[in-house]
Amino acid sequence: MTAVRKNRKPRTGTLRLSRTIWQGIFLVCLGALLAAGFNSIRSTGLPWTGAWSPASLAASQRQGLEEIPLQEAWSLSQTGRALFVDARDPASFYEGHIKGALNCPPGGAARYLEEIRILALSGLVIIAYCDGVDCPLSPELARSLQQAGVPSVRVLMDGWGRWRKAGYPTEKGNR
Amino acid sequence: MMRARIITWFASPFLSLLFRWFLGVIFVYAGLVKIVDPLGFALALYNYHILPAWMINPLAICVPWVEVMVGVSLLAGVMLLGGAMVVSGMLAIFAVAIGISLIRGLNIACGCFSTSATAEPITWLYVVRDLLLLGMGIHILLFDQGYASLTPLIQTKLLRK
Repeated sequence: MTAVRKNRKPRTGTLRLSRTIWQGIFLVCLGALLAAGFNSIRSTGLPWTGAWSPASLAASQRQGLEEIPLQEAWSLSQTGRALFVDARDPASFYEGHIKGALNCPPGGAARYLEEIRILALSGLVIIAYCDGVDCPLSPELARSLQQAGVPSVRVLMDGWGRWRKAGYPTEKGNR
Repeated sequence: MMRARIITWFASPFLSLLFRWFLGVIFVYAGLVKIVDPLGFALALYNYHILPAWMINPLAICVPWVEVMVGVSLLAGVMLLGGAMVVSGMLAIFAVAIGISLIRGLNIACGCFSTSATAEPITWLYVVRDLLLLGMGIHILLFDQGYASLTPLIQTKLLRK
């Protein structure tokens, strides 16, 4: 009897392990099948092969957003028809930002939402910017402003770097 | 005596049931958040700079659904062992990925419960959290007795047919 028990124990363990593995494989396959089916019918489905690179990343971040060329942003600011919103963190903003910009990191957008909406409705173009080609902050800020119903929101990609390089006016400190 | 009591309490299938429900809810929620925004999740995966480019989109498409599947498996107690194994495996991989990224000094969002690239950046606390959840997964694998499982109900229905 003892001998039988001794023989059975590892067998039960092996069965349990094998069942665990097969169940795991089944669940993963089922999940993958459902994923493939759902991805093929949804409008926002991803292609199975995506060329991920800094350039494609920047393009995907800009999806559904309107970009503004540097020259146009500059001339709008000259005529007083632009409100720059700096999506970077307060410390970077303090060190330097586009003259007249408002510091509005995406997480804190709600704080300035009403002010921005009123200014946009009065005819100002809201220009979101951050630093770097693949910086996700300004697209995210622009998207959340758009979703909150702010009209004429545009993104100045790599705004801080390009603005500085062009020698356009900047300032330091809080606002 | 005390030690035996602690061991009995620790190995309790009720504790395992609690872990099952907890992990189940977490995985279903995490999966649904990513299903809603596959591009955001793909971006979060890309930001880790661990995977080759060709793997990012297939994983961004499939991983959220696998999370939902294993979450449901744990909640319903169906294919429980498989669900617990996949959950534990995923948590181990997540912990390693976050750990590597922290060592490399990457300042990126986790992509765990939010697909926003500007969400709070990862810290070692995220690794600790994943390891704790991994412990729960292993507990289920070792001690779960299939309490509150729908498997007997399904089997009875199938046998009747």
